[in-house]
Amino acid sequence: MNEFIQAMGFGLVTASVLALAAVGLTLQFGVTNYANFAYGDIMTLGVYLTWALTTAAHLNFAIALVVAVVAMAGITAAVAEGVMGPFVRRRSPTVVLLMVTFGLSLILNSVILAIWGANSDAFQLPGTQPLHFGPLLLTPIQLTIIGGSIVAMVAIHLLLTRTGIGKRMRAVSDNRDLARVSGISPTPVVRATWAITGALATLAGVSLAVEASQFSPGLGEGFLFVIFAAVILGGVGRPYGAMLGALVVGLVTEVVALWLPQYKLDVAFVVLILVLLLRPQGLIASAGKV
Amino acid sequence: MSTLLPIFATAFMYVIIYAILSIGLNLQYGVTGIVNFTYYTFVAIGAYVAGVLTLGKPPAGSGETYILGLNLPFPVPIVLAALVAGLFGGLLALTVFRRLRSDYLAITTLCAGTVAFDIVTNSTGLFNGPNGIYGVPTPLASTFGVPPQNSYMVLIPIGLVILGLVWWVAHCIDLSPYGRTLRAIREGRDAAASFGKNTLRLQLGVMILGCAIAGIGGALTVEFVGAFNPSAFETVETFVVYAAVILGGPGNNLGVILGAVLVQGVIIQGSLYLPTIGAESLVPAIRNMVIGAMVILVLYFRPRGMVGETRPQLGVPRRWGIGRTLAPGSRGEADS
Amino acid sequence: MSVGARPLLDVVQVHKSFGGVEAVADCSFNVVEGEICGLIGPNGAGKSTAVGLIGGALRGDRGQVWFAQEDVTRWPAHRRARAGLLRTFQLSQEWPNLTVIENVLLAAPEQVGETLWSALSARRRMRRQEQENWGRAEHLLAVFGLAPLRDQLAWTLSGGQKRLLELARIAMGRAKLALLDEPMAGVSPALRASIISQIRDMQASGISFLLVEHDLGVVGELCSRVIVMATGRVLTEGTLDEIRQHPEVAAAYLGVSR
Repeated sequence: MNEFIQAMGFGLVTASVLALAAVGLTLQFGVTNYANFAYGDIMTLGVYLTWALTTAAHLNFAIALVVAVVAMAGITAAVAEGVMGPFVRRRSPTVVLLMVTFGLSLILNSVILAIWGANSDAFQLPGTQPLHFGPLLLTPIQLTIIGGSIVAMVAIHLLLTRTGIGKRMRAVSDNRDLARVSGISPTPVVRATWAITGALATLAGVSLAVEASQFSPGLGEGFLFVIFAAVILGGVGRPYGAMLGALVVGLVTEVVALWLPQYKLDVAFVVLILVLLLRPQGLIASAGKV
Repeated sequence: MSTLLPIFATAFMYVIIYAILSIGLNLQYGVTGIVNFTYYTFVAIGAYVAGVLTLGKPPAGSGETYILGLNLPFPVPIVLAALVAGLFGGLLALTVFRRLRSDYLAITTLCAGTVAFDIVTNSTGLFNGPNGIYGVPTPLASTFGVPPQNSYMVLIPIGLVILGLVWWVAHCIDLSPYGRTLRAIREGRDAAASFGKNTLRLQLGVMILGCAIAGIGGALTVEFVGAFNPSAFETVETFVVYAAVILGGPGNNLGVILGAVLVQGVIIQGSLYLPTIGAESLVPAIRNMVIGAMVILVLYFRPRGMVGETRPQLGVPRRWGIGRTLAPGSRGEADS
Repeated sequence: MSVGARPLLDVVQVHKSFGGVEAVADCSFNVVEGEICGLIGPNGAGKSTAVGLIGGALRGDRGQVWFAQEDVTRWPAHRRARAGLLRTFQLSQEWPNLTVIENVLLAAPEQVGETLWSALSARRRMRRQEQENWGRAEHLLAVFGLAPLRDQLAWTLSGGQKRLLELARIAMGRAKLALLDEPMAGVSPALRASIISQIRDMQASGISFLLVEHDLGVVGELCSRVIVMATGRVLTEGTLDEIRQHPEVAAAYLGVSR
């Protein structure tokens, strides 16, 4: 029983990391209407940028993270505009857009390998001593990840419901043509979405790297399929669905880890296949995106 | 001479293998428009299956563990490798082709590839885990008395025969109504269904066929190299085959063979002999950046690749992949 | 159910809702062999959903679709097409990067080399049939005035030419019944008359039509009988003159009713 509670605790941590990543991915998928296979590498690039700021520039970790998040928002928006933009304006078929993101994934990963090499690195952070909460053992780092993720989710909620750009993002994601007809220009919306995606990917990547206590250039790519599982479980373009999907996938992976620790992430694939076979529109129903 | 010959022979063998792989992927991506982001996993399946069928039981006390070990004679392992890879391709297709957009298929294939990688790495009893299988003998080497380091002497002829066969199958498809129907699925799945094409079954068939060809390429790889382990089938490997197809000319079998010569023969084999600069991973990283950038640039500036798809004209049957080429201009906006 | 008495197309109490919205609500109507039947109604009346349900692109919640004396309700789209029930789409759905003649050839029914096995093994038979089909396709292109465009990629065609291409495909496919979803959308006035006369000629050659169209002028010229839909229901049917007298029809078109 205690093991199970502990697994749920770890599940919450995984879900928090996953929620950050999945919300970023699903927002972009919904607004631009194509999947981004470079997302894992955007996460990894965010991690290495943060790391470089703490080691080479000797910045405090928190400051480095903030700088990296802002920088990655800009970098992601610029790369999307420069590389994806021409293809989107030409109305290339989805198949081609997918190939371009796949190519971007290879390029970003190679850039990381070229600059930082193939070895594992780690953030040196305090707060690795676990604290007891009844049967639950969580480190201050893990608690910070959970708290940070909740804050980020609330921020995303406020952005989507209280700000003009957030409302326009939802409109474009729900029905691009209708949004255009109602006078919403998609270009600034798409740019803002990519920036938010880059920021969330960095937060997610750093959380993942800190939680796993070390990282290598393959960090994000290896985790990407779990993120996709959460996104599709929640329904593409549904940020709240992605949060729910992240929670489900996070808990399921850690519970499965009790029996099959080496396959804990792979269970996300089982979840994905089940969703695709039984409920392709995701947990929260939406028409037209299937 | 004595040092250059093995280098060129090795490069040539890899080009043959990648030409076979490119034709298989071209059937899926170039002709039918199926985005399979884990094509190389089926190469790995073929390699492992052919490997454990060719090898005998793991020697006692070696610490190796793998299934089967049946010591089967050539060419049985290659045939079975194709069948098993095709079977897994079909299973994957069955789960994802039910009315799903191309994004979902691409996502699912990518996920399946990651999971397959994890399973092969972690289940040491299957294909000896992270160490992989090794010591796979060259087929027919003992029959012809070829020393192991010269395995290309038997494998280049075998590879050329297989490449010829695979090309012939793809070429027949290209000229037939079957190939035309597959292209119609690429150009608009709903419209194809509305004209009586069983798109689900046709896509399923192409997944099986393309993955079986990948399995053949994998079998040749393991028989040539003699070893296969998880580090050989990371996602980048799939991208390299896509690069050959996209640079060469999606939809054109001769084009994708040219692409294989360029990407595998020139860029990858060539970069192996560049001097090491900086860290060990730097040259391959730069090479991959170049491949990725080339693919994106070609997709934008020359979407039909070096050669491009040809179109039939009455009285001028397309032979050897040469015919009236596609009119310049971008692909249409079709994606169902 | 008595067999043999049904009309060519018989739609019986078909129902389809999307997330609680009834797009088609217990609709029944039919198309008799040889006629051009119009299907009209204001935007959102459920006409395109009805076409989707008949063609098999959509699966209804309940009700039946009978075609040529067979219950095709559970048949997928491609099987209905093989039985001779072909459709067009509101937005023309040509195969953009195939040539015009390939677009027509693709519609040919029962092609020999259309499976992997026959493409490899029955090559002589395949080539013979292919030659016949080319001949027929060229003939149809000439009939539909598309012969000069034979080797052009289909995406280069104008809106009206794409509609003509769709009709040529339907003729090539040996349709018994063609469902045309707004065949005049995106057509220049110059090609209108040509499309109308082509549809008439196709009718004369034995193809029946269900014609979804906004333009009542076109409907009046082509259709002997018109079905009116509004808010997912069949409002009435009759000749165009008859339904013009119908008070509810006028109300539905003006959007005053209910």
